[in-house]
Amino acid sequence: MKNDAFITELKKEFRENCPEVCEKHMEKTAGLVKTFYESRQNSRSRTRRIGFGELVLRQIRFIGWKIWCLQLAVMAVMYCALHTIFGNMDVASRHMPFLLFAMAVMLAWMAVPMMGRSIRYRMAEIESASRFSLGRLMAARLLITEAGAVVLMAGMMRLTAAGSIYRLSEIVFSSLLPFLAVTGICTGLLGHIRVQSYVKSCNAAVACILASVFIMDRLGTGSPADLPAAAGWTACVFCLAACAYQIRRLWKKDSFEDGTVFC
Amino acid sequence: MELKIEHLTKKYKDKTAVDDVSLTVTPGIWGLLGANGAGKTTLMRMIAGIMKPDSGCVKYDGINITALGETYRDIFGYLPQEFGFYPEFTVKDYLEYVAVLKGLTRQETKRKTGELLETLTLEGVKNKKIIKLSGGMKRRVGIAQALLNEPEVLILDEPTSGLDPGERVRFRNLLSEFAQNRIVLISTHIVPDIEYIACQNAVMKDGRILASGTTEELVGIMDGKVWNVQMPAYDVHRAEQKARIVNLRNDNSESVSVRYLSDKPVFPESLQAQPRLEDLYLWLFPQEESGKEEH
Repeated sequence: MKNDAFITELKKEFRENCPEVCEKHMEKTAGLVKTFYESRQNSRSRTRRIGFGELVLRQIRFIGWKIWCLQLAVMAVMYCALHTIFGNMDVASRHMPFLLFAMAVMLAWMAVPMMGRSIRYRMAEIESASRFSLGRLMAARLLITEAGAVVLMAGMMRLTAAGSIYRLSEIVFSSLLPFLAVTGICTGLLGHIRVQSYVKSCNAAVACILASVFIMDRLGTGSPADLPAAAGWTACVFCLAACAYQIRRLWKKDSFEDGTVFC
Repeated sequence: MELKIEHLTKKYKDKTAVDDVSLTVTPGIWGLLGANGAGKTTLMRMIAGIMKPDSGCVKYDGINITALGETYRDIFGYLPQEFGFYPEFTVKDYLEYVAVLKGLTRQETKRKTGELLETLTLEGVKNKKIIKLSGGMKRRVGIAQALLNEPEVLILDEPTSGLDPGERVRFRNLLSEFAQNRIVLISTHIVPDIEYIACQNAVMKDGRILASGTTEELVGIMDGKVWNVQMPAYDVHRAEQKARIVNLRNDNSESVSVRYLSDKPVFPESLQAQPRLEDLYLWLFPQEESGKEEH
């Protein structure tokens, strides 16, 4: 029912001199209001909107393929590095855990520049005001970049396992565990600090971690590969849960006002 | 359909950007006038839901927009004062990207993008990279993205910045047509852009609403305060010391028509002039020149 028709009906109802206030009139008026409201709601809902899944799929066209190409290039370099290292078994046995650790950290870090794009190119305001909002867009980007990273991680672990030097648990603790940990840190930072400082903060955190790995390698100290199986798997599950929690929290975020994007 | 702004306040470290602002915005075009630093952009961001107020709330049809969340953003279109583009985007890419963020299906994206490219005369540059476009064309692209989801509430922050006079007229006509049964709120310090199309206006200064009402009501404040006088050209400099001159027109090489603002006539043979909204703006913001564009 259009506005004019509704108003005409209402006017007709009140045209009678001093309409009697009785339930019959009230019911009819309420009925007219309800009909009008429902028709308005229906006209809004006739326009279908896409869900989060389709948002993720359609983001592949804009950012997905670029990040995946970059990750593929990185994978090629990693493959060459691993292939070279496996040519020298002594080096492989001593440095492999730290190399895997560093590669995993780098893979996790590759999502960070993608997350800072909105601020870098001043798109954040328009993205925040859209239906999906900045939080869900960030979650979509994270899923796309980390999907590629997970595939590369699996490839890296497979290559390492093929070298038959380390057990599966040692490979997982040296690669998957730091990958999940850094992903959790970078995703967690996104909702807790100013978005303008996000990329720099993540870069600083990752640089510190890589420096620590390098020092540990030089000093010949223990690596995550040496973790007891129970502790290592528990840590993996914990980091995975933390990542999932952070992505879920990001997904529900309407804006980054906690981090105050625009002040 | 009603947007109710209730006691909105936003403070930064050293300044109160928006100070206890309340306003009820009904369907039609609303102009939000104010000088640079008046708090218009901060207010717009809070209405858009992308900035949380320190106190107060914004309600749409009686429901807090924070509670509405996605439902509000679904019927909302926003053009910020300053916005950028991803460098690799063409005009078409950009509109399709924003259409995805607004939740439009593929068919709807294609239909709306085609429609807006034509309406805003962007068809010829749809495959051109946005970074290579002129400022005015970029602004048109920005306006197009705000209209993609056919919003019921449209918030435009300085939308005509960078547009030439012809584009401004086209933009005004587009908005007037669009605003039927919709809420359109335009913030600007370029008074002529809204003087002819806004049915209601609010004037903002130092974070507060100084006055609000229809254009006629606001212009009525300046009744008896706007004067025209003719004087010799050599007298103009002296006249500028005595009164607030808002316009000078050379009639010939010897005399000048002067339009000035004052509670009472300052110069002999002054005649009362028909006030305009611009006069009110200059009366309230004496340091600002009307039509000066913000950067």
